[in-house]
Parts: sequence; C-alpha cells; structure tokens
Amino acid sequence: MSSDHAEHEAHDHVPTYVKLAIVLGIITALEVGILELKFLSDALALFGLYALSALKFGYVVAVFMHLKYDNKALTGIFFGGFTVALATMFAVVALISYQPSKTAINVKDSVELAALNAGNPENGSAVFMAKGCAACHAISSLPGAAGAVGPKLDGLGQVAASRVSGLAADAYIRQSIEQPNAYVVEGYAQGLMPSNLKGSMTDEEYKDLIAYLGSL
Amino acid sequence: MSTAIAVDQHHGGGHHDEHHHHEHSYTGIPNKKVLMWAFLASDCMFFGTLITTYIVYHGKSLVGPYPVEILDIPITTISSFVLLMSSLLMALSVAAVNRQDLFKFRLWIFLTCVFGLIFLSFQSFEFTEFYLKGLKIQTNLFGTTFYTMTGTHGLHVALGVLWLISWFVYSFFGSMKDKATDIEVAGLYWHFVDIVWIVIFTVIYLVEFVGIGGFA
Repeated sequence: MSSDHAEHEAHDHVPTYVKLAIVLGIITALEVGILELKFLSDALALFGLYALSALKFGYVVAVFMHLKYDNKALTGIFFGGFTVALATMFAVVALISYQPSKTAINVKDSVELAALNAGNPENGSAVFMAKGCAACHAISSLPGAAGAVGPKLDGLGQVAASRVSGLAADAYIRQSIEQPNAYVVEGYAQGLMPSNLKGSMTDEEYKDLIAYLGSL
Repeated sequence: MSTAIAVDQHHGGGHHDEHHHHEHSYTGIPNKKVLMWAFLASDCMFFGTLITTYIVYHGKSLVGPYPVEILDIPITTISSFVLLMSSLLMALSVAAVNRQDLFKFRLWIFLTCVFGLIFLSFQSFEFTEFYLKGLKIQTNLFGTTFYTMTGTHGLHVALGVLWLISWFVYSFFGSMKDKATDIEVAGLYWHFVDIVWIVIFTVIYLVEFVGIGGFA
C-alpha cells in the first residue's frame, strides 16, 4: 500500500466512518428498546439482542478495523482466534450445565434466594424435640417442651428482632444457637447451652428449626 | 510492547524506501499489523474465558447483591455509546495521519483519549456504586467474576489511553511521516477494546433484564 493509495483510501472512508457511527448509535438505542418491548417473547428478545450485538461487532471489525478492505489473511488470523474462543465458551457452558438438577441452583435475585433458604417451620418443631432442645426450653404450643433451664421461647419471632441492635430476628436466632454466649438473656447463666448444637443437624434440619423458632 | 514491534519492523524490512517498506515482509502485510491481529486473536480467547466464567457462575451466588438488583442500564448505555463513538474518533485519526493532516490527527486522537477517559470515569462510578451497595470482589461469585472481567477490560482501555496519549505527545516532537502503520496498529487495539465491550454490554448487562419487564 503506497502513501498515494493510503491517501486515496482515507478520503474514501471518512464519510463511511461517520455513517457507520450513526448506525452503531441507532443499533445501541434499539438494543435498549428491545428490553422495553413487552410483547416480545423472551426467546425473540434474546435473539434480537444477540443479533444486534453481532451486527455491531461485525461492522466495527469490517469497517473501523478495515478487515473488509485488508488482506484476507488478517481476517483468517483474527477469526481463527475468535472461533476458538467462542467454541470454548459453548463447550464449557454445555459441560457445566450438564449435571443433575439437584446440585444446580439458579438464583436470579434476593427474593429467590430467600425462598431457597426458607426452612419448613412444620418440620422445625420435630427437630426441636428430636435434638433435645425441649429439655431446657419451654414452648407453650408444643406439648413436651417444658424445660426451665433456659428462657421460654414463646413469641421468640417478635422478641428476637429487638434483642440485639443491628441483628435481625433470623440472625439473632442463628447467633443464639451457634454462639450461645454472645448474648445471654438476663436471669440465665452463661455457658450452660452447648455451642455445638448446629453440628448435630443437617443443613435442612437447621433451616427448618430456624424457620420454626422465627414463627413462634 | 510497541518498541519491540517497532524494532521488528525496521530491521525486518531492511529497506530504505519507507513508503514501500512493508511490501518486503514475507506476507506482504506490515509485520506490526500481522502481530497486532495475532495478539487480538489471542486476546479474544483471554476475554472469552473471562466471559465464559461469568456465564458459568451466573445465578450461583449464595448471597446478594445480584446483577439484576444493581446493574444500571441507562448509565451503562451512555458509557457504551461513548466508547463506540471513541472508535469513530480513532478511525478519523488514522485517516488523518494517512493524509498527513497533522492538526486533525492530533485533534481526533486527543478526543479519542478524552472519550476513553470518560468511559473509565463511568466505570469508576459504577464500581464505587456497587461497592457501596455491598458488592465487593469477595462478596459472591457475581462480584468475583464481574469485577475480574470488567476490570480487565478497564485495564485494556487504560493501557489504550496511555498508548494513544504517547503518540499524541510524540507528534509534537517527532515526524509522523512514516508512522501511519504505528497509528493504525494502535487503532486496531482501540477498536478491539470497543468490540469486547459490545459483547460485554449485551451478555452481561442487557440479557440480564430479558423476561422481567424492563430495567427501570
């Protein structure tokens, strides 16, 4: 490419560059617009977003990066690497997605997370009895739970929210089980409650127990 | 890196006629250009793995914040647009240096840097906002994969700005007569950073909001 040729080329391309920039701006606006089009199905919206993105990608590579006008070997070099990258992406995503559904979680936001972490309070009362909590703690609504070594747990859901400032009800209940001496209710002795109770339960049982105690 | 390429060019050609210099490379393409395209092909794979990792761990975070709760589409649309337009400025700058129009070369390359810095300011703002909303790099899988990917991209932009600024400064002290290829190569790198963002903007930002009735 001689400098004469380069000069000629540059003059030719400036209007193209400006037109392309306008087109790229419009495509970007379209992309954001797609999100607000409620009548589009999700599949169609996704297709639209990926297609527009590929279009922008292609335009910049072909025109701004000059591949359209340059030696085809450069296109080969670049898209060789690009293809390997894309193929690797598809392969890895496919491999990771191919696993039993039990171990695969998919959480979109905090609401879904809360649902995932929510225990079943009905099972929680059985855990309470089975793990021996009732030996020390009384709950009026639970037959057999009449211990008086530790505080009575009636209305714990409400009380827990205001016991320690900065700790929500759920967090306070968890702390009381995992680190029982962090806060001991007035009138009861330090160091009596075992701090390894959580270890005696499965994660599921623990979640159910927390949910049950919070519902009191 | 650019010095290494420059040495290669000057010794590899071994010819004194600057205008026909690169025609004596084995490929008929300036060696610097081939090298840059090969580097960009490898960089595709680099970013490919970072984006793949983000996708694979998407939805696997066990605490918030989640992407849908903090990604800001309007702000990111503006910063994406700024980066797209910087590509236009870069292309104009390359065209100007091809014409040896020094004034316009300096003007466009300077504005390219300014737009690059505006993009980086948006990214700093975004990172700060996310941090204040509780998303640190160690918070969850979203934070880890998001900051690693977009941070690496931001680093590419920052290096690009330094590279372009150094050519802007150089143009006041040295001759740009035989520097068209160097500017073109720097431009290729700049456009590449732009197309990586085109992909990130779609895959990480826009797609997140499909199927939940808009982003507002």
